[in-house]
Amino acid sequence: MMSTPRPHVRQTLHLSIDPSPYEPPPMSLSPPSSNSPPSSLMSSTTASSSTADSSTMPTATFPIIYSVLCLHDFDSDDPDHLPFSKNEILEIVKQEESGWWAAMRKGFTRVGWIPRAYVQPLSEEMADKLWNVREELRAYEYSAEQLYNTAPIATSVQIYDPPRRQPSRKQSTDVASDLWRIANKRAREDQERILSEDRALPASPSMLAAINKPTPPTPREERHRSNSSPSHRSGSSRDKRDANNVTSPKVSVDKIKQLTGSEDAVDWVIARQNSLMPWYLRPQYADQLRLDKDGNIRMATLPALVERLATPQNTKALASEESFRDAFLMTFRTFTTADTLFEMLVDRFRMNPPDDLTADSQFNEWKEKKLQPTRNRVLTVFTVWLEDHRLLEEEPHIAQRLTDFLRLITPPSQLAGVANLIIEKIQSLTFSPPQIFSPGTPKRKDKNWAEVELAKQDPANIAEQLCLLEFKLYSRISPQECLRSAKTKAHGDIANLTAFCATYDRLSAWVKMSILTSDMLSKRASTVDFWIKVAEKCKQLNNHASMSALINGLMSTVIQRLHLTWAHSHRKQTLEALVRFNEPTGGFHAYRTLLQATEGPCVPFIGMYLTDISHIHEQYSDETITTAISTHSSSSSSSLISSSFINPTPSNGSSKEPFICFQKRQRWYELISFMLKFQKRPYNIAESETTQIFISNHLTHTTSKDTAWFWNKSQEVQHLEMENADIRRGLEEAGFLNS
Amino acid sequence: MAEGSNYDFLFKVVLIGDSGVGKSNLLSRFTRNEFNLESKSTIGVEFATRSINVDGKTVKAQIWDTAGQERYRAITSAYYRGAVGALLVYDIAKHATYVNVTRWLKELRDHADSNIVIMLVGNKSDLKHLRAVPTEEAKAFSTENGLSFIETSALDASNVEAAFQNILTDIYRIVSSKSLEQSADPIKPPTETLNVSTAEPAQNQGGKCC
Repeated sequence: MMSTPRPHVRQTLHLSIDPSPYEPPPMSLSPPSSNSPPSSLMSSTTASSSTADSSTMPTATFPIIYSVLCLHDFDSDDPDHLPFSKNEILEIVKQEESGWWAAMRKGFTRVGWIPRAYVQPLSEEMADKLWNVREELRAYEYSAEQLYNTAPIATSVQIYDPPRRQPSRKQSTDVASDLWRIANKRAREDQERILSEDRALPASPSMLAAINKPTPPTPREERHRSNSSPSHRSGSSRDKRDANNVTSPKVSVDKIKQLTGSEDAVDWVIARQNSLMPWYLRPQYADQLRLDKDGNIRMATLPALVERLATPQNTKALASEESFRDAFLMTFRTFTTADTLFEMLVDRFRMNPPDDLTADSQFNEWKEKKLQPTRNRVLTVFTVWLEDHRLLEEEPHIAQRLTDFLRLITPPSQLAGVANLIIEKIQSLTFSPPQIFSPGTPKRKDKNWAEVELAKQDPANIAEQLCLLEFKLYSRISPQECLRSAKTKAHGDIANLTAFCATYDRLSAWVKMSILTSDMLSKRASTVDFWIKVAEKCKQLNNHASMSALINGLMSTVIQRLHLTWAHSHRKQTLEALVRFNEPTGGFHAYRTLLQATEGPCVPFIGMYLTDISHIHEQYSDETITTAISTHSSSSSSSLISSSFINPTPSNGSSKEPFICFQKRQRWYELISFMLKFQKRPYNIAESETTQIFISNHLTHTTSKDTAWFWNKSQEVQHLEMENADIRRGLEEAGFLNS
Repeated sequence: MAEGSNYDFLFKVVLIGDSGVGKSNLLSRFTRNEFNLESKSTIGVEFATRSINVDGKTVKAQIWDTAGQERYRAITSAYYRGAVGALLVYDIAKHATYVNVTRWLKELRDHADSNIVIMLVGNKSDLKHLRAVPTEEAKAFSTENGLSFIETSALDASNVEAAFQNILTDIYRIVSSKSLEQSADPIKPPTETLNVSTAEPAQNQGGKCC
């Protein structure tokens, strides 16, 4: 795989992996040579090094530069490597440009190499925080924390985990859907293999044909490897290996200083690399990109975004590239149409060589380093769009156009195979829609619950069946609907979102109705208690949507005013403990905190996210950006400098293209991903047909009553209660009642 | 949250009205776009706050925006607890949003403190050519129902400042004259003033609650 001999290629690297995160050749830094095996790099106490990856990284004294969170399992038999599992926190003692970093476990002395792409650097604060989190929850906690950080950070974690990335779910017994999933994965792997045989790893955004040195694996490969073999190794064997490999720390301070690069240097190198790149390889619209200090896109024109999308990037962060692609594909409909995007991608695929190429060598280089990678990339984008971003659901007509386009890619083109795979994929998706959300367990035949009155129902059963009902509704909500909800004008359909929200109101109305129509005080009180039990159970099942609706009903004015009923309730305290989750204070702070800690199947309450979506819409406006740009072109904004540094030549694109605030889309993407992330984890609860009928009958029934009915009925009941209270009091005074 | 004690009064005001009438827009204008979206941790969006000066006193307004949650009809009731003011917003270019004002009023009367100060806000006054709700009509309706009234444009920022200033001043006047009855029980039957067009007159007999 490597052709150019490089003196400093480490002999210790045996992994045969395609080039992935591209790292420029170090300028002033020299990585370990073959004579100095990396394992000899040991913690020395004197050297000081600093890393300056923007502001997020703390500067510390050698040996420990900072901590990282492991996002994936890393297994390796190489004694120089440090295998680790997801969620561990390791300490980095040295960074190397190749993407291999030297790390150790806290409290241990063994240092080994780890692939940078598998881990996420942590700020000191974050590391402290995560140390206090249960190990298996760390990655989750970290991504949750990231969500609310304003500026997207340098390497944002993949939060929206599209279906392809999930391992086939064991809990689902639905054979058909499993088969589909497996087939799906296999096709994808085939495709990736074909692409990588072309010497271009499509899914890894960062590669340049020029790389000729071994680079660390990226999590994607790791997934493949763990697919082929069970990735669980026994802990004991690892411990043994650890013990065998404790080497004595001995390395010269100077050497480490020399070796340890700062991230600033890397930035500089990349920028320089770019400016040294022959003109015909440079991005055409780079001057229409505005980046923040972490290299994320703040705003850009559409051509610049599409170019970015279709160009393998030589940035450091693989994760942020994937996140860009996913964010783009989720949100592009807010600034362009599917047809325009399709055409622009096809144009990039068919791009012509620049007119003024003077030599054949230039043409060949252009072809090899620009055209080919772009083509691979365009096909990858189509695949991701198709598989993870609902191309068939949202714009079925594009599928036909895409098929027509792909049919034109025929041998001898190396991409013909890939094109064919995508066509097959389109067909398989069209004819067998995925049944991801099919219930995990067969339907349950039991007592005819539909006939039974509410008070005799089992609260746990009702709660469970509510879970299924709500999950079904929740899982149908598409990201597009959420985005549309932010638009002031109703663009298109948001039926699923509306249905989900409407169920909240109906459930709440059912609670009110069932209490108000109970004719006796004791019956009302027990109905109240019944619903509190259901709410409690819903909380246990993480069905927050129902829980919130039930609390809402119980806390409504029309129920709260029935003081005597409440006096006879036995579970008031339980309710009081739940009420805080319905408090809007601090944007539902209490509830958000609950949600952060929630794992496993869940139906979240999404009200406050809808507010967040419209606030993001309000906060980042496309119009203000356009004006800001025109006024601020002469200012010394760092982003302008950096982007012009990356591409000193002015693009030939006209400046009339409006700028799109991509930051806004990025935030939408993060938010919506979080909001919908539980869609992939269905409940493993058997469906009881009769209870479902019982529930849906009652929910439908509530629509027959308007708010006036509730108000009047409540007043009526309240009157009765007060009259009865007088009678009771009279009886008590007469000695007929002892209470 | 870190509320400094640099204010004399703290008022909670809710922003309600149909979806798409520009509630968030008004809010971002008034708070000068200082949503707490930036907040680091998991808190998410805070209510927006801003302090203004009334009669030499610093009045801090906490404005609770319900934008985006209009689809949850039931949820807004949770926002009303403890609110002393409500800005009921409609879009002057969309008649349906004005018709719905009745529903919102009813909801307020059902769920909020009976002393809540309500201001009707006709937003998007910049869309003159598309006006669907005559100013006079809305004004008359407001007088009839004991609401204050203003037309604003979040787009050109006209009257936004005034809308908030007015409602906060009104609240302040009430609070400083007689402190708002902090009745633990916010339930009062709808008042007779709620005689609005289509809806049947609300029932208003029925005891004050105990």
